[in-house]
Amino acid sequence: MRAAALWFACSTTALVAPVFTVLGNHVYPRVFGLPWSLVYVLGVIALNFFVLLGLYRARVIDSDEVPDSGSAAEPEVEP
Amino acid sequence: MNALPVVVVFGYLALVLALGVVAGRRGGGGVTDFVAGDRAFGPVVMYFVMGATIFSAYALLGTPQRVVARGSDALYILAYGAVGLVPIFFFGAKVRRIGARLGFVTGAELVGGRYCSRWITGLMGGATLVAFLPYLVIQLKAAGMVMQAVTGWPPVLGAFVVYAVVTVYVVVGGVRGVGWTNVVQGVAMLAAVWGLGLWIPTRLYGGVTEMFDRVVAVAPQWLTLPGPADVGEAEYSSEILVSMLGFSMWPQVFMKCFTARSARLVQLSAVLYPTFLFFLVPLLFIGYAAMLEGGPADDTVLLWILHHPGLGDTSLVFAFVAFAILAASMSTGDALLHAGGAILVRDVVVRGLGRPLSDRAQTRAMRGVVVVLAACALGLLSLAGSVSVVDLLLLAYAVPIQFLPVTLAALYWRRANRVGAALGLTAGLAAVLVLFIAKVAAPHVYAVLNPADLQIGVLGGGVNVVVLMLGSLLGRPMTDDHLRSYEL
Repeated sequence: MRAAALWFACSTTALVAPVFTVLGNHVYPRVFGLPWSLVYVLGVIALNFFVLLGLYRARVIDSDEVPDSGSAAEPEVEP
Repeated sequence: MNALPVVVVFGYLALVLALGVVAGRRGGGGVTDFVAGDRAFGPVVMYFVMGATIFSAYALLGTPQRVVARGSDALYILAYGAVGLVPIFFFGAKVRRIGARLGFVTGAELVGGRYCSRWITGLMGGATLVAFLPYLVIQLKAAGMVMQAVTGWPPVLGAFVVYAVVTVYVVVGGVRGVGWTNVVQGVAMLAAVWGLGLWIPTRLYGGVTEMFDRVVAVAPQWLTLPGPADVGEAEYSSEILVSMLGFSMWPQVFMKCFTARSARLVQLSAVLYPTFLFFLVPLLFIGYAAMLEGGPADDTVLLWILHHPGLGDTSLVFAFVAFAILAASMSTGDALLHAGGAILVRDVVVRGLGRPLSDRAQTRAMRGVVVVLAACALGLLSLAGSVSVVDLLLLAYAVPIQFLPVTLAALYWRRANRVGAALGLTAGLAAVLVLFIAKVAAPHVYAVLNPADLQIGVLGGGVNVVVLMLGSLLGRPMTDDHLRSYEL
């Protein structure tokens, strides 16, 4: 859980300054003709997708399905 | 008036109207059905509901416009989407389980229930409605613009016709109507945008690579920051962080956690969501093509480029672009109208003001509110000359960020209590309101209050977190029994 949260904190950092401006804010190298700045952001999206998919399949984060059943009781609420 | 776009647009409106109405014939018909589809949405509908709800007409028209005006600063839309829904992967399953167990259908109900506070539910509901209206007006504006281009009608009349269709299928179909039509709208947007995004660069330059060769040769500053608009690193980064923080907290998105068939399916929707982001890539291509051709730096640029002589006869393409823009506008507008109806009735009237209503009365009231909200948005659109929607959007984007601290604390921090959450949320929203009024009405006061010109949502969020923590640490914790029902 903590490692997963840390990963997403790191991937967020990779998209903002100063990491993005140092690593991603360039025209070259171009990949399939696209500028590196675009490829870099798409790469982070793709990496996040595969990490999320791995976490989902491994049932690492909160995969409990059981307590769905039961009556939908009204919660106790004070003014 | 060209007949083909008219046929495509009205054919599409008839299709979604029929689909939305048919969808409404299924299900139990009560509040849980109208708001959360009896918590029975499957993976396909969930995928398109999440994607199509988030990608609005603003994304479709605004992405190419942003490329023309600000160059690679437009990448921020992709960047914040990359991590924006990740919080739902972490807390969505828990939210879905608690909602099913305790009967919640909105995020504000869950948060207010966790803190045993009607004030919190009512305040979140009221603030949400304030945030929804300008966002809704933008969707209507896009619909009116397309209908004007297709039929020659005045924008307000065009928006009225389109949103009459939306209002009918939301009123009759509830969230099922929204979900089923979102599938059609999502497929339409993906197909039209990818087709157009590859066709335009190919037709004008011989391909996407050749188009970027040209950009590199004549306008390389459009490919990196600071770009033509001299966007600073801090400005670009704060745009991403602010949008990311509020992304999963937009109530029309958060509420979809309650509609899924299972808790795991909520997580799967968050996993698959980034694939929808690739929908924005061809819009960036179109933006770069428009920039090279000297297109306008406003939201008409997507329609403008279709008149480029190098593209030849574009009546078929124009028809599908109109179709895609309407799909984007309607797939967000319907979610806003539907969520607005549910929030005003459930959060503000029933929970916030403590006015008990029967299940049937709640559903009827929600339908009425949907009609009233659509009328209000249309009224605001007709006043658009005298009311600045862009100013109102400043306020709109700051609101969902204020929900993040109380929601995360509700789900993960046992010590968080009613006093801390109520004071934190109130202080955060009040700070946002004061800063917004100062920015619009008294810029010199605003400059003193916010000398670094940080986003007002972030400043409000900071106040919110500090007050929430102080109030919770100084006040009495909530009982163990109560916390257990929220899986704490």
